[in-house]
Amino acid sequence: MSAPTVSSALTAAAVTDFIDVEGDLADSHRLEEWLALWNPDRALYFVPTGALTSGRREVAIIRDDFARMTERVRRLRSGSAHAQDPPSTVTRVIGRPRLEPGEDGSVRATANFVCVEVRPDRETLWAGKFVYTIAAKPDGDGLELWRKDVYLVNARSEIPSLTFLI
Amino acid sequence: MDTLVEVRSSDQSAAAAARVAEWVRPEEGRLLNRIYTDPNVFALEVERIWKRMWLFAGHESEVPEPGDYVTRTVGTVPVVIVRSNDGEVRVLLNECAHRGNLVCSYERGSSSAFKCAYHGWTYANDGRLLGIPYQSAYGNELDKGDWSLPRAARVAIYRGFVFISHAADGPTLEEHLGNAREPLDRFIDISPTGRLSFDAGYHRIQLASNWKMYVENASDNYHANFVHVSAFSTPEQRKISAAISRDASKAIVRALDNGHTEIDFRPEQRAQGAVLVTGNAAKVDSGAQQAYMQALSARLGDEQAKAIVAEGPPTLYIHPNMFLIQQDVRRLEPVSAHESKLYQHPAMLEGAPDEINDQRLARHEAAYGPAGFVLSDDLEIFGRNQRVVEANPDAWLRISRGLNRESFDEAGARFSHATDETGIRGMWRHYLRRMTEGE
Repeated sequence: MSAPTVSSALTAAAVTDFIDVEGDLADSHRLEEWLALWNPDRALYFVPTGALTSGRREVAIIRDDFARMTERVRRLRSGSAHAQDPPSTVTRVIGRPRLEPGEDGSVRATANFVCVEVRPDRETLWAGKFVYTIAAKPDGDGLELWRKDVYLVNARSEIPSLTFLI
Repeated sequence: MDTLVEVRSSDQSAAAAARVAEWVRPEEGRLLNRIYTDPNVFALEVERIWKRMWLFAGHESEVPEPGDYVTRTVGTVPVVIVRSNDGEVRVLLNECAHRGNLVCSYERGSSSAFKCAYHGWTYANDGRLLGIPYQSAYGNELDKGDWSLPRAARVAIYRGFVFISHAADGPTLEEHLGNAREPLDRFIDISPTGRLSFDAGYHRIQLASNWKMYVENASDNYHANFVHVSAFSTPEQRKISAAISRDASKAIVRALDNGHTEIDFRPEQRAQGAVLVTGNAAKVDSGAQQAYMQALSARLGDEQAKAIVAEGPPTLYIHPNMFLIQQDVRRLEPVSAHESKLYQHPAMLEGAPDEINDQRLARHEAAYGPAGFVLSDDLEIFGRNQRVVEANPDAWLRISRGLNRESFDEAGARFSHATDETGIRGMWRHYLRRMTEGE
């Protein structure tokens, strides 16, 4: 399947590469480089609980705009974020993304993933679906991340702390 | 044979109770690590705490309409909290009267009946038995009235909070709450209608530790500047937290009735003339804030409305499994001596402008849940603590902090500096009484 090409930068190959880079930066705790992938005005990093609420709100595991994800990175770098001290060892496998046109000239890419997290006292298998919203940078120089939704298969089960970037 | 088993089981209970009395020494300020690891102690806790005491089960706003239900485990027993067709909130055991299978395996939903998947027994949503397939095989034995879905032995609702007890007899809920009722009211009274709403879902968390480690943490303000230092994003926040813990701080921890505890920041707030604890609804000077204050004043009067917002909510623990802090209500569930589960409900304010509740939810999400900046570090610390007590079960740990400087207030409650282990010892005193009762 070929990507809906809006800008010359936004090819299927470029989107797939971008997704790989994002995952690798997260796995290797290159937090500042990860943060630099985002468009600060559009950024939403969202991990829902799938809580099936009766109300208009549904508590999320993560709902970071750019300010909060910057805060998340600051905290992880502070030297006293115990849940990541020592940092988890993380490896993820991301399935082939399925691409479709997104809003405002973006591309929506959906990919299944499996991710293994190892900490001194536990190994945790995380899995689910990533939905990325990716766009060409306004200056045409590469791509940027607008939104990443993470649908965990165990979002409605009891889970341990989730403090690396998933 | 039955009698033999009972005798043996009661001997085992007596033996476990004797160990508890040996291992829990609040007056000496110490505990043996085995209190967090011993499976016989856990079994006795199920018998004397989780099967006897009032337990926090949920909130009636989780089942707003007739037929609405939620399922969960409360005190190791799977239950269905349901609003029956007659409008009454009931707590049924999720346990078919025939062979004990689950009658509902969904987390929430709406239904006028529950049908057991094993042999098709069907119950109305108030628990009445509606039908048994091929029922002639029961002859005259069948009395549908006797074969209802079992219910929680006692249910009591306090201002929307649903409590259950698996014991038919015992103190009333109000007797159990005792002097924790006043701070519980303070938590609820932040709502303009005087009612909270649990309509925003909840976080579900694995604790790799004994349940009592989480309980002790609830009245432990000593850890805040160490475990949570990374969560304070501004120098101002660090300054406030340091002020609460400094020697001259007027913030206190109070041991309430029946093992409940409260950390009370208000004396220090009054001294400083500042709001130290967020989670009160007031944060921004906005139209929504003004509308909220007007609604609150209409119910409570200007003065009390201002005071309640200025003072913020209590940091309250209601023994054994309920925790209220900032905008959160938490429910703890023991799994084994080594494992527990925690549920964090952000409590919305009924009748408040959306913006106010959006702020409460945003504050909850920043701090709590598995990825929250505060809770995640607590989880790590509990897990490490459990590893060490398992590895070295015959060591004693200390809960003596502040034994030298406790006082009693006019109402007779023991209190001390907010960083002291007065609440922790209060919980253990109550635990010791309940666990050794009748021995």
